[in-house]
Amino acid sequence: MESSGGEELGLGSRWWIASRRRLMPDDPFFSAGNIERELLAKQVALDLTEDERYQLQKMEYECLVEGCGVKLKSYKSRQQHLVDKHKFPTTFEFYKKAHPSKHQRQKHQRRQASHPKEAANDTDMDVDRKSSKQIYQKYRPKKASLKEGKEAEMEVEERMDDLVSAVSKLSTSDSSPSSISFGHRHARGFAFVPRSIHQNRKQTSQSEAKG
Amino acid sequence: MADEDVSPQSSYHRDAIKTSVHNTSAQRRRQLAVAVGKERREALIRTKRLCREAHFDDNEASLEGDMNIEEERAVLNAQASQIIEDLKSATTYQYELSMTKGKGAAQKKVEALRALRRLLSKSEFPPVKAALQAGAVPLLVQYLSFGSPDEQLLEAAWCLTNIAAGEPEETKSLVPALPLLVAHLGEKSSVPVAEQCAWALGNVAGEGDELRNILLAQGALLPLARLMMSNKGSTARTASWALSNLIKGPQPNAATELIRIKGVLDAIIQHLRNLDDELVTEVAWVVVYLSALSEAAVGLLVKSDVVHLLVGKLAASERLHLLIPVLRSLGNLVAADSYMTDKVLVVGHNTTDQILLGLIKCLKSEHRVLKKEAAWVLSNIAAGSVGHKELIFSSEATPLMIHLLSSAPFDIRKEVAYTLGNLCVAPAKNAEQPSVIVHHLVALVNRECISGFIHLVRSADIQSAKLGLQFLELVMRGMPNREGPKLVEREDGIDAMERFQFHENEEMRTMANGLVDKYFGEDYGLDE
Repeated sequence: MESSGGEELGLGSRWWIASRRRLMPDDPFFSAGNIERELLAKQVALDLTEDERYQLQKMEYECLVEGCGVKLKSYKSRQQHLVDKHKFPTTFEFYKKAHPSKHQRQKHQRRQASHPKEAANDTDMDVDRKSSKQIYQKYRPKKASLKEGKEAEMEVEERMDDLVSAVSKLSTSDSSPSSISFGHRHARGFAFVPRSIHQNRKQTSQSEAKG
Repeated sequence: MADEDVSPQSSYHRDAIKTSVHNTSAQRRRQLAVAVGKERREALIRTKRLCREAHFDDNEASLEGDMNIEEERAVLNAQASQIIEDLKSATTYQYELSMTKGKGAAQKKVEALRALRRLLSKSEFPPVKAALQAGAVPLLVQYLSFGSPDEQLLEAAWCLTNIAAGEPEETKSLVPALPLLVAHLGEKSSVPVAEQCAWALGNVAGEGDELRNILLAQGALLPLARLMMSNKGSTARTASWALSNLIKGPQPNAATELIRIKGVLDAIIQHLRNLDDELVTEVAWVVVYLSALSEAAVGLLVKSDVVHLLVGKLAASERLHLLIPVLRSLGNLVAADSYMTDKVLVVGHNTTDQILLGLIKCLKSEHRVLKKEAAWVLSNIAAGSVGHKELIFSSEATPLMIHLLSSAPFDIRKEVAYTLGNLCVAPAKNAEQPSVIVHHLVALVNRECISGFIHLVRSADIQSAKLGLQFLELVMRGMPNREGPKLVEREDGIDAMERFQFHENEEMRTMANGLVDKYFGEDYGLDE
């Protein structure tokens, strides 16, 4: 005797009757599998290789407060954590280095160059968040172009030009921040939170009710 | 970023890409690699810029980081609106005249469309709403008119694709564009254009029932099916994906209509043989919905090579996104038609051995989805002949399931319970009490399954509780030497059953009380 999920077994249900159970595609039983489909599709759209994806999943942002030890998945979520858990004000300014040496700047900048994947991490996380909102729905904003020969080549040239000009803009010292820190261990620069900041924080957290 | 770090790198990349594009024909993989590399760089550049400004050595205010995100959004929105205004004026006759060459006008249009497309392709903050507010859809419909150059059609369809990939309201805004998108699926349009339109329509179909019905009414099914039959991998894949969204129901009519289209079944079979896993995956999803919704499709599928091909993939592949639809298709077919266990998965046949291996692999998988759905499939096979039960019982599946019964999350335990219980009962004749396969039952009891089922009796899910009670009934009736009740008592089974003594659910009350009365009544313990 066949029955669908959710229905009682029919006659003689005092006893175990072995029967096939058929399920409709929108049965909640299948929702986990459906979600997997959506998530995977979104990741494909981002064109990350499996290695990069794996690395991104390992990316962590450590909480800046010493002793907390919580690890967050993105810069934004860490900021949220700092605001929520540690009552950092949203406009809080951290300990600022005024003018790093050129050597310092180069050191920071080079680190950025060697950890480009971290940047992609944010994108990936955002996409994951977006995709989790669109459960069992359509997906695949088209990202990749499958144009033939010449067109693709021209596009690539354009993109390279864009890339080079964008990158050269990034290197303009006027707009570059006083110091940049990239890489897994963000907390490295903040293993010790200077006293002045502790005090500052207390003050600001009192004055800002929301924190 | 220090120039010296970047320049040599970028020129290296430039050279590498030039070479790859120059070489030989536009092979799909190479194009895709170029496109992938391009998009990846775009993603990295964009987010790198964001990250960099937002981070400021973690010293700067995080609000400033937020402001940069807000600023970026505003900029993108403004850009989108501007392009759309440009595109609007580009459609006027004046504009055409003002261009000295006709070619120039067309080129400007394409460039503007391309710029819009790029904005809409951003994975963070694509300015979809701004574009819609500026009137993107009717405008793009104009640019989609037949006779336009392919480049233009492609870009316009791409823009629509990405608008459709947004929020539900954004997808719905495509309704005025649907007839034309459907029209471009046909043979009058070039394959790349048709493919891009299929993509857009796939997004629309995936949004919901209402839009699916509109598309079906507008005749999207047939041309998509035709595209699915294409030999070109990307076309077949995109069309399959769009079709899976279109036929997914809940109404079964689209699925039934699809399988009736000449050539569809053959195309499915052919594609399942393809080495491209992504194509196989999308086609498998079509089979998922065909097998779930259409009796006609089930009847055809179980008699075709599809089963054998799916089983092969199940046994051989390690890829989660392929295994899910393959497993589910097989599950649907087994559940829907006894032909599967009667004629296809005959004990002793190679396909049967293979499917068992595939299911065992899924039970061992770290992925919850695979474990759960594999257990479901097994439970349905275990509802077959005694031969099937013996086959499963003597395989590696049984110890795996016994372990899962005590250790896995609830949803998996439940499916496993169905399977294990099914192994212990022979097919019922008429409405009699089904007979117990004693040596299976004894084996399971000896490996401490009783406690797993008692755990189910205690669960909040009534269906699971009933399952547990039914198994206890088997144990108490079927175990030799009337050992059953003792064993059940030892595992606190009486306590679990008495939970239903005054339960609101009458059926559960009756069942539980009946068991307690029968097996733990006045006579209990007197035989000792």
